[in-house]
Amino acid sequence: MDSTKSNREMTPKALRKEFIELKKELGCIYKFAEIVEKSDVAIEEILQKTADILLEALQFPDIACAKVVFKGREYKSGGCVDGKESLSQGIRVYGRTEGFISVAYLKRIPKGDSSPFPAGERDLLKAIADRLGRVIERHTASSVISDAKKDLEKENAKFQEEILERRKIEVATLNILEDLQETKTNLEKSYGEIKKTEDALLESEIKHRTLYESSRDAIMTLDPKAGFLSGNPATIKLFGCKNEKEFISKSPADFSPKYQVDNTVSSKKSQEMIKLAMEEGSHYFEWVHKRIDGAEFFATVLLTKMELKGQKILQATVRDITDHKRAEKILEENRKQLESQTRSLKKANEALMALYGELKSKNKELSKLDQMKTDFVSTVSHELRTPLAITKEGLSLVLDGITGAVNEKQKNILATSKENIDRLARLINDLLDISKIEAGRLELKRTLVDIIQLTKNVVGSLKSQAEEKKQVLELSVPKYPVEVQVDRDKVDQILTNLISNAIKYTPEGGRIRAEVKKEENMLEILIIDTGVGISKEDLPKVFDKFQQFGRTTGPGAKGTGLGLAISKRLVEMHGGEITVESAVDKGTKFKFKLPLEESKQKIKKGDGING
Amino acid sequence: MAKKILIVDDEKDFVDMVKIRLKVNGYETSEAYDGTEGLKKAENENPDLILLDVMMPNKDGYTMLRDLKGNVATKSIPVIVLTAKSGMKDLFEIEGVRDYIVKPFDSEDLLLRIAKVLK
Repeated sequence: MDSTKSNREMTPKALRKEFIELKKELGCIYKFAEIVEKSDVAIEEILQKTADILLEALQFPDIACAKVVFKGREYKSGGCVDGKESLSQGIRVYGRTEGFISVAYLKRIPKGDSSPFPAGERDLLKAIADRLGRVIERHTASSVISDAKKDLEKENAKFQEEILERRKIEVATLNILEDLQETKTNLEKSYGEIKKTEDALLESEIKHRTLYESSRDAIMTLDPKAGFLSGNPATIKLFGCKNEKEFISKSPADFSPKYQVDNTVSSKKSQEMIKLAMEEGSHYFEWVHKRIDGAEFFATVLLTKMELKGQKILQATVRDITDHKRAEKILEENRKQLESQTRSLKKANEALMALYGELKSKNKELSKLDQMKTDFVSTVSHELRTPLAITKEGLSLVLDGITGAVNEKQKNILATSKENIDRLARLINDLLDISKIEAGRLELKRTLVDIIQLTKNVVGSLKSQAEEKKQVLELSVPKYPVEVQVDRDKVDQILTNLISNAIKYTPEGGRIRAEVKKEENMLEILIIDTGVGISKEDLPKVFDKFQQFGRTTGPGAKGTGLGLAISKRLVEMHGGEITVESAVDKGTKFKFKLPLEESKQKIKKGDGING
Repeated sequence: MAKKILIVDDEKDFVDMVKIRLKVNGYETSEAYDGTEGLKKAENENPDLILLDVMMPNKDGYTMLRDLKGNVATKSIPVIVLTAKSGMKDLFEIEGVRDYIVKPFDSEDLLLRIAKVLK
């Protein structure tokens, strides 16, 4: 600044003036700085205020004017008039002059001063212009940035919109894609079905072709006017042609005798049949055919109307029924034969029924008679027993010496008489038993019986008889009880009969053995003696009634000839069986079996554990 | 004191024979020839034992037995059935008869059974 140099030569008054001017200038710069530092002030306001501030910094602001021109616009201080500017300074923005600041005096300044614009003012103007340039640059920049930002925001919004739009398009596209996929799947399915149908059709075609080719039925097509159009191998064979060529074009009459069975002319009748089939769609009938070699055969013919390339033709199926006819004939003959047989059988049956009725009434009569017989035997035995009892008791009274002394000889006679009364009583009992059994009137009273104990009891009761003959009576039984559902009295009767028989027919000093064995589901009882035995011839009759064989009877009770017959029947009524083995002079073995019931065995076992 | 036995049987001969046997063996006897009489005697004489036949006129042994058991005075008298009719054992077992003997029988057996019942 050149003011410093001049300061040394200035007068105090001038200095003072200088100082005031500087103060004004500084104030101006300060105010300017205050304005521009505000960030939110518009550039126009800054320019206007700059003009106002600048005016105040001048030496004689009252008569001066300041203005700022920027981009063709003017910002003037108050009272400014155009065209009087005297001092101006350009505003450069980014190296280019975009406007200017100017100050001017409207009137002449007071005298005394050499220059209306001191150097300080010029400097000030320059500094302000410079600074304004920077401010404008800054403003421009920030507005550019702000504009750019706004643009960016706009762009961004647009972009967002676009994204949204694209999303929408994407979704729509996806939907379309999905639709397309579905359509594709459907198409594929349809294609698969079409393929299947095609395959099925092909298969069907093959099947039909095979059927046609291999059918045993003769299948042919016939044009009523032009004759046969085709014939399957069976057709060719049936009519005895060499090949299909020989068959084609021939007419049905060519393969028929002149007359049918009803004496109609084949050629005429065949036309009728064809007509019927054409009218009704199909027609079935019997026909006599003729082969190429002249042989005739019975056939059934089925004519079916069909269309081939718009032409109405017939399909014929011919079946040779010669065998069928023959079979029918045979069947008919058989049927007739059967009918006559049935008739005679019916007659025989009627006769049988009559006989059956007769037998039934006879049977009724017989069972009535049987009943009467049983009742009779029952009554008679009662009637017989009473006098026997009296006689026996009478004999006993005498024999026992109650009525007076009896000598040895008398005693023997009386004893024999008494024994025979007992024999008679046994006979009556046995007769009654056998009569009841044979009339089916004997009912078993089954209870749970320990066969081991029962056998022991019977053997015990007969022990004295065996001892009388110095025989050994052995018993071999299991150590545990064996319980069976039987009629105790009847099994007792069987055992008594068999053992007393053994005693009776075994010589003195012999051996008798009663054995009970438990098998899986049978109880086996054996009575074995070392007695006189039974001959081979007599053995089969052993269980018959009133059979007593050459077994010499020793002392003891005499038999009735019914014991074994009764025993056999009683064993059988129990569901068992009795057998005999014997050898003369060696001995006899009777064996009888009784079935063991499962449940009863279990009861028995349970008892065994408890007891 | 001798035990008294009532014999009820329609066969007089039989009754006579049995009477002899029983007397010889120390029993006192009484007799009736049908069920009605038997019942009366049982009630009046109160025997120690009754030997009862089954097939009898007027009142058979089975009916008489039922009447005996139905009467307080006679229901405790023991009964041995003595009959020519077989196959009725079960029937009398139900009625609580003490024994059942089929005619003809052994005298020893009869005496044994009587003694057993009277013991």
